[in-house]
Amino acid sequence: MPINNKEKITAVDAEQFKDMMFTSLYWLKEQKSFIDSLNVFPVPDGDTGTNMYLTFKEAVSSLEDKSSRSVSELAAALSKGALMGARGNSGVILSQLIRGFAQALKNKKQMKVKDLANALTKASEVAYHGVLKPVEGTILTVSREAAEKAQAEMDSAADIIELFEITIKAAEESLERTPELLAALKEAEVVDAGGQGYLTILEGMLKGLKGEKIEYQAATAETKTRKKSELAEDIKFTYCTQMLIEIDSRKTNIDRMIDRIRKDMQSYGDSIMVVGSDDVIKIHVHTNHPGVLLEYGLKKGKVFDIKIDNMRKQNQEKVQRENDADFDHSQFHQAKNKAPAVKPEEGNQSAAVEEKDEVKAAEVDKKEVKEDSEIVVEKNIGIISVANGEGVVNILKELGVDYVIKGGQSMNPSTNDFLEVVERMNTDQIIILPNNKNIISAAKQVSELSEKEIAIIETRSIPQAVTALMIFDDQASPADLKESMEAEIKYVKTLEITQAVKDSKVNGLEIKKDNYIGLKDGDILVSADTERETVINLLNKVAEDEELVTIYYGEGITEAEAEEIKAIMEENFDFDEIEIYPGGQPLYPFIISLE
Amino acid sequence: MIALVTDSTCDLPAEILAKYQIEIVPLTVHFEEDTYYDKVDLDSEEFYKMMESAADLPTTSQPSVGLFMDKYQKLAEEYDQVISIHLSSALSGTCESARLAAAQLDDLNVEIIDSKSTSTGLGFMVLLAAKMIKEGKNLEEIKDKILKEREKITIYFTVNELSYLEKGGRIGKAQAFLGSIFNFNPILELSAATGEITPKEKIRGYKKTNQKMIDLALNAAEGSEKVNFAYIYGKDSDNYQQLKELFEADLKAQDNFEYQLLENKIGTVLSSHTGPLVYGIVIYRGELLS
Repeated sequence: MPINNKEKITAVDAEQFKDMMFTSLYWLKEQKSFIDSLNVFPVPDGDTGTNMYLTFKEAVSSLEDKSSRSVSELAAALSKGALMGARGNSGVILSQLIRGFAQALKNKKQMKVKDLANALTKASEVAYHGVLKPVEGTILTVSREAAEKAQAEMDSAADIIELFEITIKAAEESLERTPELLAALKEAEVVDAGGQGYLTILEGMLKGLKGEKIEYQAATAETKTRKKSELAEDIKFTYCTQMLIEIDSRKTNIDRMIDRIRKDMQSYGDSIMVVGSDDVIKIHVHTNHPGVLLEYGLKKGKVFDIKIDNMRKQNQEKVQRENDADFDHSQFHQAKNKAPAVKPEEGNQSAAVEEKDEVKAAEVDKKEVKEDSEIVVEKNIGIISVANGEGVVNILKELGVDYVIKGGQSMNPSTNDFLEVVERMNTDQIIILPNNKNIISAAKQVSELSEKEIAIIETRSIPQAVTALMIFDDQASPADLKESMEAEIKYVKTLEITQAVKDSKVNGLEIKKDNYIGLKDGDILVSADTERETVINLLNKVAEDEELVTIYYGEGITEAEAEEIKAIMEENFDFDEIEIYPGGQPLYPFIISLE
Repeated sequence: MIALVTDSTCDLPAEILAKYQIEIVPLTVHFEEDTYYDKVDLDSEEFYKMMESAADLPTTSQPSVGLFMDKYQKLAEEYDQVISIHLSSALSGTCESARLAAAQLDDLNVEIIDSKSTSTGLGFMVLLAAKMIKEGKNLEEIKDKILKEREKITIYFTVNELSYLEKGGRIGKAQAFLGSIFNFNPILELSAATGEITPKEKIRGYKKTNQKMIDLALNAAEGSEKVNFAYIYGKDSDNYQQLKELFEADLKAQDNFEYQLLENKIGTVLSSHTGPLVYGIVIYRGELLS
């Protein structure tokens, strides 16, 4: 690829703008697992990197078949795409940033130096405006401080590249300061993940501008491979090649080596992943020349655990299997990209597989959504909710939910996912119960996009949804329901038991990876080695004079195990009634409500 | 002389019926191949046992026109006027049977009144009529009074399974809170305004259900100086006993109104439609002349 840093670029045209965005998307994809790892809380969460990536992907995909000659038009398409694709809180803020960015570029055929500075400023302004209570030490701060620097330097910067470099540097510095502004970040010893995501996007744009080009296909290939009827011809690189390399860490700086390898891999293929720790580096790449790659590895150190798969062949088999559960190679590996800072060991395998199932589940559901058929609601008010796990979904449906979007903690539905369901319903009044704090904002954006009368009931858990649904009144208006239901959910406590996905310090607790942690209404309050201990400790902390306990046991928990937990509760606490339901939810062995 | 007729769903105990010479026309329960007269042929405990073991739910039917004619004709020997008060016409065709029967009897003046209620709600109106007859009020006065007083009756009740009401068609399907996996208790209302059963609340947990039902009952009583309450129940249960305990404590603690409190077991016809574990409170915001 030709790299020419010397030539001044004073204006970005439509073509370059497109390049920038696609490159940025690819760069974000590369970095998303790292961004995910900045997650403050050790709970399996709607990861920031993944959410920003999926949001940005939706945005950038909307440029794919746009052959516009004006930056303004492209930016507008980008903005719309981001709004539709927004997932998770970070995705929603990103969509607001992009929206502001596009607003500033209105009527601009090209983006000049000043336009960039103004667009960054407007982006930050709109994002601040879009958040109810802006918190400093987050992506907002990073966007603002970067924009301020850009404004200050726009007259003196030689060209757009220089202004980008200055801005990126300011964003980096701002990001470094985020732990000073947010105590939770400091305790967890990380910088803000959303801020990192924004920085990554800016970096990616610069890379694109500089011509560090990665083909469009790389960015959009994933969308293609997700299609069920994928043809083997679509696979550009045949061999999925993985190996571990043992490095003499006394002689080599491992981080620099990883960067080096990552860069070198660009010329071998795509779907590149290079991670490492201590003295082992793992390389994963899709290539047509695995042999050359092995030789390359040998030059770096001792090669072991080599694995080469022929994806074309796997794919053909897959297509033959027709409607069998997909083995989608790229997704499998994409999922594996998670948890980059840990040793490439067996340990990650199960997490990766779990992730894959998540992604698949979401895909399947998406297909359902795409079906376009009318959702017949036999009431005045349609009810949409979000859940994962057969039992939980069935309970919600029994309580009157007309459509359950599959999702939750680790799979946040996008604004568009909601919008499609909203539009398919044969009612003009709709309420949405998101059941997760990270899904609320994406749902909220739906009201802007639809003509229908919609209220978002801000439920943050399944028990809250159940409580809210108890007082559903089909004669009330969505706005009245919002008021009464949100008042009602204050009377239920939600307890959740899950396993820590990493070591961390939260709320003064030292949590080790795989420890059980107990949350009350989203706050981590206890941590212990067993589920049972966690439940007891948590109840000791939060149980007051509640009468009714409902236990929803998750995937992998047997009814007998749930009965055991119930017996423990009966023995140690004075509740009137304890009910048990198979929830089937992933990641959370137990969700318990007290009311 | 005025005779007083009601139907078997009024749930008044035998001694009261005897004391005021209240005549009963029974509804019927059909169980598999057999037909039983409500409160005549079948003891309720026996009936619950049959319900548990039978493959199909029992069905019920209004008294036949002939049954009413027999009753009225017999009364015509002694009386020249009849007041016939029955369960809500929104729930049963009993009033209609009575009307058809009355239309065929030229020499007897029968006044048919839709109580828009049932169980002790109907029972209260029958008692009111009985006492007014005793006091020598005329047919017109009694009728006017009852049409006025029936507005002051409300019944709140809960069932442990809604399927009985739903299958019997006594609750609108769209309004029914479905639910078989997930456990919650519905509170239903039979309001004199419509004479229909409508869902009032969905509650989780028995104690909360009982408390809510009590709140509703006390609310309904508010503003009246004298109130008549009645517990109604099918099969006895811990939950029902808890309701009584809580309600009586609350009643003693208040001094807003004077009250009387009855307790009546519901018959086989009503429990065919509610399931055995039904219980509730009937509120009549008025005074029964005593």
